[in-house]
Amino acid sequence: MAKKYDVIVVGAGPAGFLAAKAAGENGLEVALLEKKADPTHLTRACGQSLISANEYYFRNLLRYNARDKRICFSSDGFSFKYDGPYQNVYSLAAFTPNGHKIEHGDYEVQKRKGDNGRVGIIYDKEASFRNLLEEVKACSVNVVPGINVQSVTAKADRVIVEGSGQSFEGRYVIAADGVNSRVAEVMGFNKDRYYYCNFAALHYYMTGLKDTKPDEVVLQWAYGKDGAFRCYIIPRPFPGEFNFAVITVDPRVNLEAAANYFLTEATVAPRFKNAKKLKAFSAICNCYSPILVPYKDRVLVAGDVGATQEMEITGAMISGWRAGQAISTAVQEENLGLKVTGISKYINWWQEVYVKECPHELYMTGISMPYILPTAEDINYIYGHITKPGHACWNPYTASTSFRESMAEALAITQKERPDIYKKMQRKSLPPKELLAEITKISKPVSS
Amino acid sequence: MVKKYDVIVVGAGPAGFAAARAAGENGFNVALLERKGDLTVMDRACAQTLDSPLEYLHLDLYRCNIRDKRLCFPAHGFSVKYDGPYKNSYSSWAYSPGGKKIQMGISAEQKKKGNYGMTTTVLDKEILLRCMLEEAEASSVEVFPGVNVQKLTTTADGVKVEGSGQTFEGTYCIAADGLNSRIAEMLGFNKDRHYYGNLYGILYYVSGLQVPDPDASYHIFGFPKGGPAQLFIFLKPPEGEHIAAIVSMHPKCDLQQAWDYFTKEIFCAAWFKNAKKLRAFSAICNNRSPISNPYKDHVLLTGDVPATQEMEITGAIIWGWLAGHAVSVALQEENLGLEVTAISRYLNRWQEEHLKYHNYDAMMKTWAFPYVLTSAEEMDYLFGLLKEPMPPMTNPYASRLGKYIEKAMPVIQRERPELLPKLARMALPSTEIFAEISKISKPV
Repeated sequence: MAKKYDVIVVGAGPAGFLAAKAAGENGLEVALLEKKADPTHLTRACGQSLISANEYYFRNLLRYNARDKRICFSSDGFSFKYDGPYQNVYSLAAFTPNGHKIEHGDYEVQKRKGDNGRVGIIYDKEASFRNLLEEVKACSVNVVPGINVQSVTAKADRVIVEGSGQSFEGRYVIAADGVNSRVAEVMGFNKDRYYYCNFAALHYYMTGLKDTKPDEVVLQWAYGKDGAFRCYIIPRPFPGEFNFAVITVDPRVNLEAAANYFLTEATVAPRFKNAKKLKAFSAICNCYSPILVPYKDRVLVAGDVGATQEMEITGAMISGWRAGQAISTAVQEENLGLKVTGISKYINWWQEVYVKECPHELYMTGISMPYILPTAEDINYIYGHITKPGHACWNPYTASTSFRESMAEALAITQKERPDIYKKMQRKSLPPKELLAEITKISKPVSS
Repeated sequence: MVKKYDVIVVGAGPAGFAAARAAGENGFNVALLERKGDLTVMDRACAQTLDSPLEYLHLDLYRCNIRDKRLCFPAHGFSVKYDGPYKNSYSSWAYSPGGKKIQMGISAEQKKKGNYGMTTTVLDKEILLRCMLEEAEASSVEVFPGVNVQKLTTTADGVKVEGSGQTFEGTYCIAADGLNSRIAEMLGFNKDRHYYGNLYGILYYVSGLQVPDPDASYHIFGFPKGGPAQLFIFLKPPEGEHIAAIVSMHPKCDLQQAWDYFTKEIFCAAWFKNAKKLRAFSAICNNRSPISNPYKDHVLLTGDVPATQEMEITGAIIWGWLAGHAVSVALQEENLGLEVTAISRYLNRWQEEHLKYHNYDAMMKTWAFPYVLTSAEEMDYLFGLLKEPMPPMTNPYASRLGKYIEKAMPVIQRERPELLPKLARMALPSTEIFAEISKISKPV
């Protein structure tokens, strides 16, 4: 007979680990199912950035307690061990295709503030998974690797989860299987979501870069013959290492060719002259509108499963921890014969703190830039008029307000000198649905 | 040179430990000052109960995770280590002085529900304090025993705390020095509070007690010489031991005489025939209306400090933990040059989630019975009418006993109409019921 769990957590990423830890600490019987054979092993592309270290994100101010080696979310009141390496990031430098630099945050000013000036922290996700695995095991979570969940069947008072020839029964399920969640798909959560496009990424861990600060993130936009793409150069928390990432939402773009363009032709190319690739990763993520009600038939959605593109690691951690806490409360309420309120409190939190305060349209508009300004010349021209650093931030939802002042100036000049580009820029206020319409037509959701 | 801390926590009880650990885990430099020389020794009377096992209290349903040895607060989302034993009671019985019983819960039925049926859980607070000390030290909290805080002054950028010849400077102070808080007194927080009176208590660990139901806890009303008192009996770990506590609000009640009254004179004397006292404690607690705005000049009051009678261990842990995080967020906001919002969020929460849902006047009424029915005979009569067992009631802020007394009203009207005006006084605010007591009492 299958063992009965209080909760089955599907997916051992940041959200799933935190959900399992919260429920386990509360004394619930928890199974944590992970597709990979080794949950501490990273197999998909990831920037490994803990973003927004200097402003509120998901109503928390992220803090790394280096003394006791803990990642802390003080507003929500939880923290967990992380004893791996980390690297502060003090600013984001974005380059137009012709190499004009615009900065989120004045690097020198931010760096002088030390930890209080960092906009984000790069960590080692594999080290974090090792710590989290220890922490969930310490609270008796049964971690089951190598389970690729294929089916989820809800009964009146329990849920059956099946995959890789095994079957698990739980009172509740927390779906934390990521942005291409199969659980969301089989449970019908995606039916009412608007599908925008896919986000495709190719990452290389690299070493030997020149003229690249170990504590700054670099971004460059590019327009190829098949479509637009961009790259990030993100520091790694290991001396001399960087995470070079090429990203596109255009399915026609060949990412390897795009990577090659940055490595050999773009204005960032000289940085890579003597660089060496250490390891390659890739990922394709569906971009849907968010799940508005993250609960159905005893299945609670956490982390990227219900998010448009991603909640970022910090958002996933907060959401996962809250989901574990919600199920713990619900189980305790059920055990005591009380009215169940734990789930609805989570749904309210999700709607207020994610759906409302992190508007996905804002996120998608950021991604839609190449479809607002469809040529390299457009973006070179308008961004070329931004000369002052925007305020320091690394937060996709506040990034656009960072340059409000400089942007107003640039727009005024554009309106006078290049009304054609100004007119294009006005399209920024259109819903991202319209901006991405052409891309949506030629894209198709992927399944995990 | 005086070391400067981010946070100075005064008082290493459940609230202070929880606050210190929270701020420590968040990476701040924390000093935890405690009057006692040994933080893990209990030197005041405490019933050591966890409230409330069956109902929401302090907006949480605490849970004992025996498997992983943690005491959990799932709605708030945290837990503390506790590797000591628990002892559950499955019903609670109240007695009038003449031995008439009101029963809340039926042990056999509640026991069937296992960990979800207990009406009282008692833990070993000294073990809890030891576990909380370990957790605080694991997050680099510096602990200073033997510091009796006598003075607190505001500095340009924080607070200076002095006591027992030592001086500590901090950006914030969390006052968790209990019901009779010296810090609250020094900072003038008590000026606007209504003073009800005191609770005087003596408490013994006893063995060899013989009670009617081995799975029940007991609450016996009595009228010893001097003033009314109540005897509480809880099962405690280890097996075979009980907590027996005499509590009175009456300053003229001699607690030792009251002990003799309960254990030698009235019906329950038989229970104590073979009883042996193992350890003795005492306590006097001020009862005041709560502090509605428990913050001033970088000093945040938490746990029992701003409370009326007590927050119970569970409430103290929750509010201490919330205070530790609130101060952490405030410090982080200051570090980042952001507007400081965390303290006002804590105060809102205190007002919205605590004061609104935990009616202290109603809680004080749990002590009002002997000031309404003022003789043993009257109480015997009333208790005698309430024969049917009632469901368990575990939330002191929301007693449903009044509902059952109301049902008996037609009988009382017929048989003892003179008791009606007395019982009607139960509807008065506690401030009036205890007006006489307030007059003859003095805060400690």
